[in-house]
Amino acid sequence: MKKFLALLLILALALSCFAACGGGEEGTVEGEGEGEEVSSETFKVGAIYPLSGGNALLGNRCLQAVQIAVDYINEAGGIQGRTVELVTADAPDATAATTEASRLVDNEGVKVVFGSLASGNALAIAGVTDPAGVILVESGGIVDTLTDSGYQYVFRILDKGGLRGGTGAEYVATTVADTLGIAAADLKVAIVHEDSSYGLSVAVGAAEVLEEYGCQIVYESEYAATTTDMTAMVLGIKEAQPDVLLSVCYVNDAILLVDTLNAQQAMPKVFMGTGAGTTDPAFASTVGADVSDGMFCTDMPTNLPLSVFEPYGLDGVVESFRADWLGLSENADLANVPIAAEAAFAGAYTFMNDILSQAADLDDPDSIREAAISVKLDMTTLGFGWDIGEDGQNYAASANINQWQNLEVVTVAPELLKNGDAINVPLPYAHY
Amino acid sequence: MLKNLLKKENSVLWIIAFASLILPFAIDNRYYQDIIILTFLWAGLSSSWNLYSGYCGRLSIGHAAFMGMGAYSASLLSINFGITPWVGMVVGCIISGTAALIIGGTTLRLKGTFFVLSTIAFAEIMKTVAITAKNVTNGSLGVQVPYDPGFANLVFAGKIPYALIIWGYMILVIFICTRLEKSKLGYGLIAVGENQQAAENLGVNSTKTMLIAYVLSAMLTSIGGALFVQYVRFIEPSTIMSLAYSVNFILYAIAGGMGTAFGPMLGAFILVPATNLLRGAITGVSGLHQMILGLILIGILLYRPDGILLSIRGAMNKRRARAMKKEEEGGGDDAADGR
Amino acid sequence: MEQLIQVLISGLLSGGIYALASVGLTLIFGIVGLVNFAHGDYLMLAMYIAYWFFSLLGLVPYESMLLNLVIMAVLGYLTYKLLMERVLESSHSIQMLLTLGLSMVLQNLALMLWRADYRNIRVEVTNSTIDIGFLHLGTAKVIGFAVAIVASIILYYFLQKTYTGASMRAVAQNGKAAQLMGINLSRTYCMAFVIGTVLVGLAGLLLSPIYPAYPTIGNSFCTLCFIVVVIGGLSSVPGAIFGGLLIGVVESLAGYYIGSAFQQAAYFLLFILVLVFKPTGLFGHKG
Repeated sequence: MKKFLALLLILALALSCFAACGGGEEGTVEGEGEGEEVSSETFKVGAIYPLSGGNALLGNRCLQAVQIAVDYINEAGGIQGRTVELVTADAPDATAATTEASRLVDNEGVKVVFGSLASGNALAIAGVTDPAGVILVESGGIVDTLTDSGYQYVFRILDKGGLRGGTGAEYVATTVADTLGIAAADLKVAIVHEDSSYGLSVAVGAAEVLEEYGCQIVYESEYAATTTDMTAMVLGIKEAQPDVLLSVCYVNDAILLVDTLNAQQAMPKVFMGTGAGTTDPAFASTVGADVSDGMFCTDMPTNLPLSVFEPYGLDGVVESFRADWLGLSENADLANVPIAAEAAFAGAYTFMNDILSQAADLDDPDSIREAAISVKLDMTTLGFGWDIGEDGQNYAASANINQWQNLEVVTVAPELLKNGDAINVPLPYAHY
Repeated sequence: MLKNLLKKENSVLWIIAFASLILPFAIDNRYYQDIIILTFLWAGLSSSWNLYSGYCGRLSIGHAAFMGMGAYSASLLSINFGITPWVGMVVGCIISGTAALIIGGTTLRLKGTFFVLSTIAFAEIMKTVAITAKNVTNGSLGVQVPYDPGFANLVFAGKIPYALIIWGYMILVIFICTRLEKSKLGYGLIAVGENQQAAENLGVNSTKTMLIAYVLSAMLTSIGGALFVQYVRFIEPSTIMSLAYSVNFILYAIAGGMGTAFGPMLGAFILVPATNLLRGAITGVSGLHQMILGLILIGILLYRPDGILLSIRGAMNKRRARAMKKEEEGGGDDAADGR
Repeated sequence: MEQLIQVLISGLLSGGIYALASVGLTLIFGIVGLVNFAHGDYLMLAMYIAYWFFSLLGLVPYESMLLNLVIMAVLGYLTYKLLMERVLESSHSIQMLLTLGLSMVLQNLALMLWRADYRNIRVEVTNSTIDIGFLHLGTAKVIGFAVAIVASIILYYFLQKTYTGASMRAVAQNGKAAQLMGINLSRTYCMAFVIGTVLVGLAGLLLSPIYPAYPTIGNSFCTLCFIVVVIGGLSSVPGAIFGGLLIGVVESLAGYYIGSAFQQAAYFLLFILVLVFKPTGLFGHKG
């Protein structure tokens, strides 16, 4: 009996040791995290992305981009003389995101977190970082509620989902309708979106604007991004005979959607993608130039010519980032940097280079917040400026209308950034 | 109760259960406190699962649905109608209890694997409902519990109140399990699990026994779900109603010892920290931490298939038997195995 | 009407692949009695193997079929010998969790080795269609369907006409009795497991020209296969084929008439209904 007791006691002890040791190990791995003297010289930032699970592809790409941004800052002498130390975390789902956020905040003592790709993760992380007075710089989570929830220390560099969808919809209801010679009120639009918060928030924004313009939404459907067959949905689209198909997809399902549209001879006159899936270089290269030429993708500005950045002196950074990122062995076969990675870089680089350097006290979140709101930039490496409102949303963020032309993303609107004219409206191979 | 507590083995396990409350106070680090709280929570959830599936030996891989019902009831009622989550928790209990009654009434009579698969189907259907019923659940945008600390809101600034409440939940569920083991219902349940026909011949109403336990299990699970949403403050259907979450319930219970009151707790005490600490420690190689976890799981199942608790018990019995043998010639070795 | 026919046919075509993947599980689940939650991950592995043959050697998946299946057979054999054989006597819960652990290992191993990138195989059949009147049928899907049906028929005759096949059926009905009749239980189990793995591998490689390989692709198929197998009545090959086709059609009809969001829910609902009203499956025997 005594031995049994002892054994269980040892077990309990081992458990608590396990918990404690975990911290000890980490300290050595991540570089003496607990020493106070060290932290006065280095400045710790965190990066939380889904590195395993379903979103691992984009998550890893973003992390590479943040790592490059940190390297650049350190090469240039750090932030206010302090070397930046990056601590990374894997958040395959929202609950893991809270725990990992807590690790970065409470254990590693990071002051700023870069993240987080998935909208759900962003909301989960904000729930941990904000009460703790840690900054979250969001460059992927698009869901509107992130900056509508009254968080103090959440700054989103990219546009809101609603705005993204709305921009695409507006272009459809105005320019596209004009080109097709159809009045906005007669324009038939189908909306399909993947069923996570990303797809839903963009689609809702698009539908609102389309209704404002009086367009007819003839078909609406959501699907799971992991679906392996879209024939039924595509047949629904075909029966509705829309002029324009507005879609919100990830990469994989975007390819499946386009393949199925073609197989069923159901491609409408105009294909408008809104979001990372249809802007990804893998999308166009997989479906091929014949198919993708003329397809629109509303997204953050992407793959802009360096001349856009030249007046602001950012062309050097953008150029070397593109070279460095594409130079990584994992990305060797990509034609250009995907938007998710560009945004992650822009978020991390701009925030460290332009905001944190201006903060009066790097260890005081309120002083960082003040800098984030008071600093206004005409241009970041992403192609739009920096104008953070009281709610933490970047109101300079815009969504561009891009178009695939010969496997290149060409910006066709707005006027200011455009570097080409729209082609193939309607798509030459449109089936009806 | 006191008699029960003083009974040798259980008393040791009770001591561990109670002593674990020291941890959140002793470790003044919010990250570790977070892991400890999640450990308590999953210990409670897994014990709730154990109440039906563990004792009866029939696996439900759909308990995430009940967890989701509890979480949605508590959070949506408080956000939309200002009803305190404490009440929402009870409402969630009623909803998931009713759901369990309906679904259990139709599927509990299914045999073995058929029942298992029907629970998966049930959870998947509930997930689809949560995603598509946007007006009620907010769909895949998920539910955010506002950060407004206060006892009535069941939201706290610090970790300690959460730790206390969730620890209390764990103790409550384990206590119910220990009572169940000694009750007519519990005996009936174990008998049904071992041999349904034989149990019926002995006068056990197997359908009623299983149904009561299943409903109770679902209700306790939904309390855990409510605590989960109030603690994590964000849920989305694709996570909280996922197969992966349903599997967690089982994972901890089997690792610790299915069908024992303290097994799921021991399993959660080891695996929840292991999962989280591994993920935190290994970020360099994507997927490595989960692969290690998978290997650990395979290892446990191949070498300690009865779970940790029963393995320890078995080892103790063997040792005792050997000691007895030494003392007086001729003692039987066969006492080594069995519950 | 045209739409309805197109919906039905495309459902049948997807159903063919489901059927093939599920027939493999029928052997593993129905004969060996193993609840294998890693089944979908073998489909993933076969897709990766097809991809690497394509990208490194330029072989179209159909050309590398034989090699691919041999590799799958070896993988199946190793899995059986190293893991499954040890838990044959264990309870279903242990088996289930063991295979879940295996699934975690395989998915994350794939992530570590090959990263999360989508591995597309774009060949001629990917985008070509066979057009019959108003019907547009994806060539790869038609090929997949045809191969699936042929493979299933071969399997059916193998089970009916050969000694090994007969012993498998005997084992499926009553393992102990079969053993008493002189059937080598362990060999039969091993055989069934390997054939099951090869069949799901075949399903994977047929899918590879139309769908990319990535580490978690197996998840979409695993539960689906179980459902097909149960609807089909556990150890019945024709049952599994019928079940696969039925699920394909139900999914397609629900996607068209109710909405894509309900595709999965529809077949889960069907599954529960089948269990409630005919617990032995549509093709199952009593007991």
